[in-house]
Amino acid sequence: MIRNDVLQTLKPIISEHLVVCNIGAPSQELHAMDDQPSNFYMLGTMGLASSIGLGLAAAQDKPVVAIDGDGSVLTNLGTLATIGNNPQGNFTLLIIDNGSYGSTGDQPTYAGMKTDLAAVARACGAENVQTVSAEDTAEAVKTAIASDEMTIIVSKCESGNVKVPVIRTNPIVIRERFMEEVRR
Amino acid sequence: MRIAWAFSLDNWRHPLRHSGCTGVRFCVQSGERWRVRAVRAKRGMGEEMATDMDHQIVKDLTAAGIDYITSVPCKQLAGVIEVLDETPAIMHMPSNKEDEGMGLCAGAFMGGMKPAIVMQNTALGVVVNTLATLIQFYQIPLPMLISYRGEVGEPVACQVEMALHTKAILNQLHIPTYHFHKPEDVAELPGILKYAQMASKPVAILCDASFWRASA
Repeated sequence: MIRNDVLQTLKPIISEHLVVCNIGAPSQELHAMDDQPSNFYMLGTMGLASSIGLGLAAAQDKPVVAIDGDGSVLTNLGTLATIGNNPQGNFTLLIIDNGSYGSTGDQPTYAGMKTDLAAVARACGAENVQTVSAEDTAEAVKTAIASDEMTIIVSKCESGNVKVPVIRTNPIVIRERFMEEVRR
Repeated sequence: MRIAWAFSLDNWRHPLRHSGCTGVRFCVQSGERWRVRAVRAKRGMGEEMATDMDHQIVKDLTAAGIDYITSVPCKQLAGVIEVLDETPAIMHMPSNKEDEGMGLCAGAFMGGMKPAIVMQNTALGVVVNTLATLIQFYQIPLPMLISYRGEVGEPVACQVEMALHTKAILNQLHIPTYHFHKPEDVAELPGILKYAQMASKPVAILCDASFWRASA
């Protein structure tokens, strides 16, 4: 399974929830398959989906799912320490770990080599960290959303992207409709 | 030693989550406050070093409705950061790097809070992309309280290098910029904070060594 397959399995589970999605292919794939006002798409700024998700979870009570990638988390590795030290029970961080920088041509990341992001997250103080297969990801996310405990899920999948268009929605529209969902 | 910050949650509107503590605050159920206090004591943070100016700045922030602050420390900002930790109306969530901090602020803003970031001017070298493609692109109001290292009174030569680029970077990004040089300049702060919200833009408040020294 590649990222797009994992997102397909997640669709019924995250569709109604606040989702902060990583820049590039992840956002584009999610947008193409299930565009929702409750999705916040990163159109720029690599590496900050997990930080935005944490800030959002801290500011309000609704469940928040941040969909990040292994390359993006490596870009902003300090985020795991901030998350580990500021656990928010309504926050789920899903790291789709395909061992590659998918949006830029599938160049390998260190997470696909020796670096274990789940172990890093644990060492950063996160208490509930799971590594799951692509097939088991949807169930793990469902459980995490229902739980009162912050969860970090590292989903191991294959490298690869599907051909989908770039997101042309105005950023202010994305932000405004998302905030409307937050307030709802 | 002040310990009031650890207990006065009267106005704290964000329910603490029982999975742990929120940043420097504490979790009632887990008794996390004791650990946090211990960490502070270990850092030598038990001594009060905040000045009246530090208190005034935080008072202005809370009066403007700022209720979420992330910070990356600077010597000049140590007093402000100390007061932030004592201020129940503000959720203070330190970050490791300023671009990460701006991500936290963007999330907090979308969650209904009014964020601000406390940082050093050298970090403008870190956050150009984040300012342009997140804060400005999505129009997120973000006051940036910035220690302006490398100005007259600076003891560390290397700090001068980024001081030379500070206003140029802010100018290039079209970020409204205010420079506090004398203690009385702080009178502008409430207006600047209001302006940031009105304009939905990042604004920079540069506080130089002369400002901090004369305010001590």
